[in-house]
Amino acid sequence: MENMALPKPYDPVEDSALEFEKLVWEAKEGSRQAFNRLIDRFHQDIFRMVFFRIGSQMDAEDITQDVFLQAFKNIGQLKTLGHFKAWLYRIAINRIRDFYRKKRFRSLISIFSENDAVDEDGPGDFQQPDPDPLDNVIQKDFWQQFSLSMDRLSKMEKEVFLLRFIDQLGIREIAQALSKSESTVKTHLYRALVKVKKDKGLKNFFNAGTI
Amino acid sequence: MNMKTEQHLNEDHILRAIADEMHLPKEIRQHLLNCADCRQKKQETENGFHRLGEAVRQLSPLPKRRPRLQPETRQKMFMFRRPLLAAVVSVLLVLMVGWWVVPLKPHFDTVSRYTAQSDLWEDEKLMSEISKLTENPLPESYTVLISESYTDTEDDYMEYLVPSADDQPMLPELNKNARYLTKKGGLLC
Repeated sequence: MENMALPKPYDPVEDSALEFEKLVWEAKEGSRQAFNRLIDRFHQDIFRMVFFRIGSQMDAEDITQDVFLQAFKNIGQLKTLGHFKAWLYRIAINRIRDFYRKKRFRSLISIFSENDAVDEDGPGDFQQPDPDPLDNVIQKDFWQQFSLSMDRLSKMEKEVFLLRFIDQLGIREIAQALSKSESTVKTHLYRALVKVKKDKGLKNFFNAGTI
Repeated sequence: MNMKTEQHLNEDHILRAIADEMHLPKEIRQHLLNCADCRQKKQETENGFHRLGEAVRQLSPLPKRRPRLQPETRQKMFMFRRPLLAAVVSVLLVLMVGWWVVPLKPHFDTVSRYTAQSDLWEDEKLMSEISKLTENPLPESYTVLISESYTDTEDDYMEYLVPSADDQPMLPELNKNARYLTKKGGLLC
């Protein structure tokens, strides 16, 4: 009797991780239903991630659509089921790069044809409309300060910071998504933390914690 | 006990700890493990960054449409999903069209050969007319009037300039004249 294995205590984190891997495995086997559940789970995160890097809702929605189509097409190539999230973010990062490449090309063409105006990303029209005008002003101010703060970071520092604190990815996931080593990611993250912490414009929001 | 008297972590150490705790110097890592104040300070700073992220996330709009997978089309246009296969098929199509067009080519060759031959005949005709004109520029009616052909006159003239070997009896007389001229020449000199 003593040798009998005791029932394993319920661990919601482990259980959901197993369930998640099962879902990814089913999707890898070609189950559209399983993949649709993965879409339900991640599409808002991917949309937000794309939106913060592009600034246009419509473009972000189109890119999110592309990301999931590409993911569905290539999920057979995914080797480790647990890396699905990082893999999805990697696809999104590549799609964003493609978007900017095309945008640069369009802006080059627009030099020759003035009619094709390239849409500029205005950080002012980012936030959701708030019924309270005071909140609206505060939000706008916050967004401006945040954008300025991010502009002071290098490209990689900004990317690592956003992935860590906005997209809430772990260091290993960031390294996988950016195809960099973990130590490189940590170095960039440290530099980004120093710059953001020193930013006077963001200090009030940083300490208050709410907007 | 000793840890309490040690210097607490500064802001740089705290930020380093947030980025990568494992790579902190051993003493600092040890202090962080044992000092509740420093751990709390680190946690508060990290929470501040997370709160910042949360505030930014609140500003993000929600997507208006959910991504959709394309409807299943398993058999339909199967080969055009593979670009290489599509490229090969396109090349084959071009070759087939080329093969179909090739038999028309000899027809065009024959036509061009006939044209070239008729041009050649025209040229030859023209050249023969030109050579006729160089031999005798006068029309045929005029040659009848002058009662001798232009070529005959030319032959006589050439005979006069360069006598043929048959006119041997002329030679002694010529020699005589030559001798006379030499004498004269000598006198003149």
